[in-house]
Amino acid sequence: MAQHTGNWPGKTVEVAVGNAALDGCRVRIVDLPGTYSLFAGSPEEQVAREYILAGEADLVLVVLNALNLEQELPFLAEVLALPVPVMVVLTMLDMTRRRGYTVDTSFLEERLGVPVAALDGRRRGSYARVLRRAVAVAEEGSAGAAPRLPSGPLAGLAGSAESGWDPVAAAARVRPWADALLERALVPVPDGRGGPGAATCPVRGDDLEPADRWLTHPVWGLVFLLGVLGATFWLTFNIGIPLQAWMEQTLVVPVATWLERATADAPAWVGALLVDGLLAGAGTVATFAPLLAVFFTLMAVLEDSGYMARAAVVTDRFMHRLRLHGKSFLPLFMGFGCSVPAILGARTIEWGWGRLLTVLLAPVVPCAGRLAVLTYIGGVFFGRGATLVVWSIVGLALLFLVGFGVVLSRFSGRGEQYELVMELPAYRLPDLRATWRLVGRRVGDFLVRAGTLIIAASALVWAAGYLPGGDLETSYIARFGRWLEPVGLWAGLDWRLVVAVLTGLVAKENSVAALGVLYAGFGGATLTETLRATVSPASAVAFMAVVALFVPCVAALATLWRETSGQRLWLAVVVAGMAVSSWAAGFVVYRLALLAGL
Amino acid sequence: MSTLDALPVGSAAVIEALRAGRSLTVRLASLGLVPGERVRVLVNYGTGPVVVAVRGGRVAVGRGQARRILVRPAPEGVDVV
Repeated sequence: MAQHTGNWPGKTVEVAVGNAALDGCRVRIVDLPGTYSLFAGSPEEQVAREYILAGEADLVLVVLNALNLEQELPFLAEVLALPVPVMVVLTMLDMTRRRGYTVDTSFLEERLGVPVAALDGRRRGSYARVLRRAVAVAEEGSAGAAPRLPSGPLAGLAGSAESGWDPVAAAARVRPWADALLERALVPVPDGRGGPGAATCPVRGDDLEPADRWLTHPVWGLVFLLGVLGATFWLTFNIGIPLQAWMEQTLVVPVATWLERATADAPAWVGALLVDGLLAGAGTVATFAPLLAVFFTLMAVLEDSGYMARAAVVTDRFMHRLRLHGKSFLPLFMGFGCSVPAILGARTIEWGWGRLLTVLLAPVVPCAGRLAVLTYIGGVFFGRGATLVVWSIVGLALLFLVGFGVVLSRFSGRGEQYELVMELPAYRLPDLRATWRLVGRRVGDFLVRAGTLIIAASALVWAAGYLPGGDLETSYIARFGRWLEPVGLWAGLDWRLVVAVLTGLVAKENSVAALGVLYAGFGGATLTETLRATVSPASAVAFMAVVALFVPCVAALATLWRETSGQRLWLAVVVAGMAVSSWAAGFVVYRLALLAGL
Repeated sequence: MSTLDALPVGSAAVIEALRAGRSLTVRLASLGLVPGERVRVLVNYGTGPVVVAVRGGRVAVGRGQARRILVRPAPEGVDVV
């Protein structure tokens, strides 16, 4: 099973189905969206509720965090109120021991009246053991035989789940059960040490973690967060870019050479299609994966450690300016890696305008592809000042992001409440296996979703730049670029730069490759030399601004399309807004750069 | 009677009433913030979210919402229910 099961902003958000083979028995596992309640109105909670009520599952596993039993048992009470067989899976037991108290699973089992199994994700075989127990429980039906809440507090409510489910009333009906359950199951032991047979909870386990006094501080918390983010970037680029270059050298170059040799006898267009069309696209995707893997590993470690909840607290105030709250920070920050997971990451936010706005703003954050183009162009034209220029352009893009957020919020989402309500989990050492799985899934998302699109689209762009005569200068894309050139020239972009921006639609980092093709054939000079000789620094900086703000790539657009169903008008507004504002920003930057004498 | 955002760090209180929309009420309730529940303020810098201890866990509540949670101060150790 390859599933992420975190407990806070990374709480499972997709319904994923996996099959596991166990002792010759096939088990189908449906991973429902993580929720705190079955009665709330978000789509995730509805999906979870409806699936459980449908009675399709042989056994419902309720995964509870042992560190937080007091908060999580009410959720168990909600599930127990439904007429379905239930087994409890406890996680984080190792952490409770470290904190000096114990949770006795057999005691809990007796008091709760349902089977309880302990899961330690860090230990090999633990998943299989829990699964084996679940299969045994499902087969002998012992979960159903447990003494249940008599007649069920939700009788009558369950039937009318869709029409008249009043979540507040349902929650109120379950609450006494939850309290009774808590009283039965949790035996506080003042000295923090439970005797045998006692399930104990920490009497003061709800204290502030010592570090949190600083990490949630309005000033020091922010300083620390900026440090963390800076380190994330530094590590990503200092590990990722050399990795990328190494992949290029060891993977793409030999394959290109081999392909050229293998197609030497075929018509010229075959080799060109394979090397410049397909391999260029596939190679970009492949060499980009390590960079993203580094970024997502760092993000997953931060998420898993529990720190990201503190980051949400610290950033909450600023996010309110955009009518968002602290939970939107994580998905927006992921946008620096790749817009696709950033857009998907918004699913952790409660349904409503806040989530839609996060989805719409995520692609405005300059992704690693755009950053790669900015870094390259900055390096070519501005040498030592490159870092400053690149960060100024990134700052410009973030200003536009704030602008979009403020403008969009003016026209919609009135009367809704955007309030942060989230658990601050205990800090813990990241679970490396879970981290690895999460990173694998996010990079896999990128490879599959982006990969197929990028390769297909780069073949298309290649064709547009090759047909009809096999010469870029007279190709369809050049004609289109020349047709747009009058508009481009306002921002200092000649038709080549216009085409480079457009090819970024395939994948942002493609723009550099496109420049390589467009500026080839200048007497054997390298791309850097050619660019320096033919493009003015003012045009270059305007080009950077346009690239940073232009419409996102097709992979991001496809993800946006899926995540905004029913609200696509807003998507159209944002995409059009990005197209217009990128040119406007290019125009202003170009004129300012000319005034500054660049 | 006071509101949650006005409580100093370390003070304890009992929630009297929540002024929130339906979905927010459910979200607050699912984390233990319901009328009658006892809370203790862990973080309150006068700006940004308030973090409270409730039902054995820590919950961060945005300041705007904290302003709409009515509480009755209740020093610890005093039986208020």
